Amino acid sequence: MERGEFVFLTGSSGAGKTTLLRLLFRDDVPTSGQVLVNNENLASMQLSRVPYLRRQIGVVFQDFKLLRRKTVFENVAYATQVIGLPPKEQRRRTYHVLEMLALNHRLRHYPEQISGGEQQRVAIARALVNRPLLLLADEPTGNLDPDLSLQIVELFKEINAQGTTVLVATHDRDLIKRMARRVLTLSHGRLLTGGE
Amino acid sequence: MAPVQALRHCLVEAKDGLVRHPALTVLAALAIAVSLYVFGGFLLVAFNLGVLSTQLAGEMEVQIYMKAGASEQEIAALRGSLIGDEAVAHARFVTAEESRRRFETRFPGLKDLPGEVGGEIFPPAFEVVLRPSYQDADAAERLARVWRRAAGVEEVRFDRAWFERLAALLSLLRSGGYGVGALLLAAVMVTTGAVVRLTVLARREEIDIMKLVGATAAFIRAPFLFGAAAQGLAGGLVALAGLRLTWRLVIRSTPFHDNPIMSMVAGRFLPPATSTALVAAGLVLATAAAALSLRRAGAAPPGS
Repeated sequence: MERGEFVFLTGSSGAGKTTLLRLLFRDDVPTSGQVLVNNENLASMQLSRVPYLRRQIGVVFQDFKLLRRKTVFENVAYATQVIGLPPKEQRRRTYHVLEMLALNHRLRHYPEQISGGEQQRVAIARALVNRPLLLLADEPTGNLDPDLSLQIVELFKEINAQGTTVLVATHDRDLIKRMARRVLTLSHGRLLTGGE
Repeated sequence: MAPVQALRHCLVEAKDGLVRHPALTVLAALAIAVSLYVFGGFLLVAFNLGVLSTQLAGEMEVQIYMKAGASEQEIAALRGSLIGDEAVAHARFVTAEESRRRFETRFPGLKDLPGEVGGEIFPPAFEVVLRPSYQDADAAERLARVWRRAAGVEEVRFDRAWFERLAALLSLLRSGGYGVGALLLAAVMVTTGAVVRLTVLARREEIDIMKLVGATAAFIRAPFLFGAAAQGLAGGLVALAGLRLTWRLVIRSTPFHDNPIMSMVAGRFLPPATSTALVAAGLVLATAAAALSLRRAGAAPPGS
């Protein structure tokens, strides 16, 4: 993938989409070969460097993975706290990204008090708040209805337009057709199409 | 991250973690308290037996009987020699008259006996208490051999069997105490480790999210370690309070007053330094157990 690209990753269940994404944010390591992200080989990366890699990568999951005991604001601000930003900057960035994702009316709500689409937007906000170079999304619309799915992917397009490289794993063919972007197709762990 | 900011984060997250799972927090602190209570009970008995052995050692004397006609110079020379001897903790000279008075006080029914027997049956003597490192039968025998050769000395006596029994008791206390103590300490570590691991597992999902957003291992672990330290401290304090309460109930009980063995094993409470160490042990063990559990339960560096 080139810097600034927006690419879909597709394939049937078990094709290896999630595994590929996990390799890209160093949640797993390959048994052989290289995984190059921003010219860095993750296969040989030291464990102590992994947190710093992840600060450059935003990850969004189908099940959102939000902290239930924290509010919308706290969930997003948490990512800025982890990287050690000063408290004032943490608040500024968090407000900004939540406003961008139209969640500024939900700041004090807990994840269970908001809809699935809003929860996914919170997860995206958290992935974006540290201004990542790369955004990885694993079936981000899997739990959403078609209208919300479209809204989420439109949001990814906007994020991509601001310079972030985006890789979205999905098996939603309708969504892929509507977006008209490069598509990588995996089958049994091998790239079938779109690698050119 | 600035140190103050990092400390604040650790304290806030640790408090959140403890408050969010109150049952688990209380269970962990209680489990630590129970194991430390048992260990503290052992320490209490060991401490009292230690006091007892010291008292017994104090009663273990070597008597150096002087000849009836021993001169003042001979007595003074031996006194000087005993004072300068590194084996001697304490030496007291008892005159013939004082020996006689003692006999009459201890055995009032026999106070006419010395007159009937006749002669000088209460010779002047030195009562010598040895330092702890010399309180064994062989060392006492070696010293007695030397003192027997001193001018004016009639006889040197000590109770060899008593020395040997005390040495055996002290050896048993030391080896048995270390063995039981090590076993109990291991039990405390295992229990503490298990409960702290349970709290870590309860927050596994949270740990995964922290790793996902780029938290370092230290950032993830520190709040758990602070939380575990607080649980260990609470457990230690509860154990100490429970131990003190139990001890007070025991010393007021009828069996305590009726049975002399009870006063030997539980006559005194733990000294302040040992009490503090027991509480500190809760804090240290819980923190160490948490550090080990965090490694095993998946809070190892991200990507591992």
